[in-house]
Amino acid sequence: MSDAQVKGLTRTKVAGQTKTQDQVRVLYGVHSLEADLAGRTVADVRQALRQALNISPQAVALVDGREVEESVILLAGQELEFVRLAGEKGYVRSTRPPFVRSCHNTHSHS
Amino acid sequence: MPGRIDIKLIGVGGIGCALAPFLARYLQSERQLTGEEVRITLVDGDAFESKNAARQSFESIGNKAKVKASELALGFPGLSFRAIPEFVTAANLSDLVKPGDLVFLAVDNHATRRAVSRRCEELSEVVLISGGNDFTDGNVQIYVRQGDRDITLPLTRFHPEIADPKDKSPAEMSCEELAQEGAPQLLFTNLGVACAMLNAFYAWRSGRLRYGEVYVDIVEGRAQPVARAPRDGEND
Repeated sequence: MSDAQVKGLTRTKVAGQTKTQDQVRVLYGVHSLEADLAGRTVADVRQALRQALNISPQAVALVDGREVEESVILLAGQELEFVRLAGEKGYVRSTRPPFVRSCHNTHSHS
Repeated sequence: MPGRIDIKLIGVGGIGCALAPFLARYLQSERQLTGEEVRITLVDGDAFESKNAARQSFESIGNKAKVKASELALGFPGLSFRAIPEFVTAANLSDLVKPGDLVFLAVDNHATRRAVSRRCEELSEVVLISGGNDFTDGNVQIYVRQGDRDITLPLTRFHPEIADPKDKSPAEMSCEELAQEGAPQLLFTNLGVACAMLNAFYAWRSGRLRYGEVYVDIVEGRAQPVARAPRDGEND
């Protein structure tokens, strides 16, 4: 997919914008967009949006709430969600600085 | 006849501290109308340190569950508070989470989320509302079981990072590992997630819960709810 196509995919939908017949809704965390993606595979869309939305390779793909393989071809009107990983600890994912704190664990440790 | 609600708040850190007083204020107010008996149990094995004060409000140094339960008992005399100064472990989980409980899970590790979710899967009636955050965004998952059936999905479903966690619960960590834990967090994100957890609680309590997970991003200024309903056959 070309850079121009990726930009087209990541453009936020403007209120009142007319839908075309090939539109698929894509969700990732708080982000959502609608684009002409019917006929493309889940893998195509993941690859196209991976950098723009920072989609984790671990993120499970759902189509209309059902887990699907990457090879599934999207149909017009479907909703594709890449399930964003659960929030864990305050750090930006994959950049975890080793902040030190004192130990208050009340359990015995090896 | 007035009912009874048993609430467990597991994790009294940035999110738990933000959530607890508003939950208590709401329930005390409701109790005056309904006569409902409310018991809130706070669970945390960690101790408050003064350096946590940027995001967490405690009136004294000590175990977080004990200190916060004492504070809340003074502020909300119509409710019953109890403290369990322990981390969640396999050994204490069945005592901590019981049938009919409403559990607010505000921990910072997937290992504990998996353990609590699995415990809830064993129960016929339970509501689990779990919140977590990174620096400026987070999510809330709501797992509801009624009549031995999943109404929404467990925390582990569609979340491999929880189903197969790479982290450890605090109870499993050595002091050295704990010393490596902890990272900058933002009070406002804790507040945003706590608020989303309370919103989900209200939606469930009023019979209007329409989602199983909601994402929150304080920089984007957005929240995105998504359904997490079991498919045909998943409850069989």
